[in-house]
Amino acid sequence: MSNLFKKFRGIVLISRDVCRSALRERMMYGFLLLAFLFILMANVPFAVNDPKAFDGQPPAVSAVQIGFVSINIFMVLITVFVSLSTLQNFLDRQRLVLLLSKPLSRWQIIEGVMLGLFETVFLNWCLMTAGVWLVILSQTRELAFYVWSGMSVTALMSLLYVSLVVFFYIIIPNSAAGVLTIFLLIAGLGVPFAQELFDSTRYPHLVSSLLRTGLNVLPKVNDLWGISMTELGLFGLKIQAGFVILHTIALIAVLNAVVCFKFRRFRRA
Amino acid sequence: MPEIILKTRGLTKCYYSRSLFSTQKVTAVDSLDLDVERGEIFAFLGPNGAGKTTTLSMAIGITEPTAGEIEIFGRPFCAGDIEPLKRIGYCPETTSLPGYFTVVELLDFYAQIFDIPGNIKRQRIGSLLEMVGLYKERNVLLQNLSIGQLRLVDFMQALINDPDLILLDEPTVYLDPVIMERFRGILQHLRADGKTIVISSHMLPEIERLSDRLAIIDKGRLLKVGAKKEFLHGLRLEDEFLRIVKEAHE
Repeated sequence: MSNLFKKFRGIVLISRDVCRSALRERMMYGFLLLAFLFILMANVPFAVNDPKAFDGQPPAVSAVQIGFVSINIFMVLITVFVSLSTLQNFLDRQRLVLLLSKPLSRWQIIEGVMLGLFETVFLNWCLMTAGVWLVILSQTRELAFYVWSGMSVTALMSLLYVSLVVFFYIIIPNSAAGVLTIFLLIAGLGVPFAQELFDSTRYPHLVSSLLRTGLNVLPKVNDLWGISMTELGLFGLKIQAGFVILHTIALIAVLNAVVCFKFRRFRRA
Repeated sequence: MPEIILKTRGLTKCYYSRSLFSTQKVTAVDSLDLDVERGEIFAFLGPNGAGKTTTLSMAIGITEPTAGEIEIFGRPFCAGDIEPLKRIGYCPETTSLPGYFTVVELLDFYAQIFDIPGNIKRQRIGSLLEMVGLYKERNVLLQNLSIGQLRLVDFMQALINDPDLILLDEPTVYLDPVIMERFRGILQHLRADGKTIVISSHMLPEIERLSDRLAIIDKGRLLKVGAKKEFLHGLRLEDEFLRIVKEAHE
């Protein structure tokens, strides 16, 4: 037990260093500033007097919607660019050599990196969600805790983005990792369309089951969006939240395991 | 019979340089047999590209050997074995230390990796800073230090766990004569404390003064190994080194 605790301590130690390194990325503050400017626009629905504006939705719903979309967009940007830049700094050969000469397993180092990036991303998510929450609170004078629970899905999505960036970086240690992550996210958004396409076309059973498995491996970003929309009471969506969330957590866990496995030989001649 | 701390037998490392149409095999280290004894300063010499850094990387488990065996502290060692690393200090040839750490914070970070208790950690960091003469700069960010000072920080992190075996790869690069003098004193002090030091360097006059035994390698092959007096014969080490390397090239 104490051995496990010591291993975990090593991971936390690395994660603190990674988080510190990530927080020094100026690019992140630029994105955060832009995100807050977008989030401030959530005040607009409260200022508009025309009842037909925003499809006749209550102003709070439109405000949350603006905040939700802003958080999603900026979390993708922050996650991909900041993770990539931090990975490039932290997994730089010269810096890695020093860490590898210490009594730390390779899996501890890469898990520490992942945890550090998770912490950074989570901190950004907290700040942005607090922004949306403050807008709703100031306009409606209600505590509106549903904002936090609804937006929590975007935090989970961000963890998935981090896992994808690290996963691709371990395979291709350069900026292409970020491009691949964004491509995969776009592909994830097309999953329902592709599923409909497979349903309407007759394939041999083996082919269609393989295609389905392949699609399920893609991040279910759109489903997560739906869950969050339901939580936020934005639309009357009916999605089984538990299944998709578990699916996403499982995907993050699998990506972590693959990353740990691949990292055994990372930059090892 | 002196205790052997680091032993290599048939240690070989090959790299493969692949292009579209051909694969070229480069042997960085070729069947290297070395014995490093407890409490000695063992110098590892060779021209650029001789395989010194690769050998040290294999000894610390960063690089995997293609063939051969390594024994550290009397037990077989392979890449991924972290237990012996608790007793080893390593100062790489080049590092990029994170500039956002102060000197103390960096040493504290590495001390925590070794799980050193708080009071011992503080005491050790203090004495290391005093020893290398960076006590005044202890709260300075690493990004504001000179290259020579950074080299000393590199050296300090290698000593943070009070190691029994210290592997130093070109530690004297960028050091001015004053710091070099201090550095020499530190190594002699460490040897007197029973530490085993393996040092790879191009600074032959320094090696001549410091080392107990020497090994010269070139193109991965061991050319000569022995006590310092076996190399000198009234000559300077530099002359003997050049003679051996030139002979090997002929």
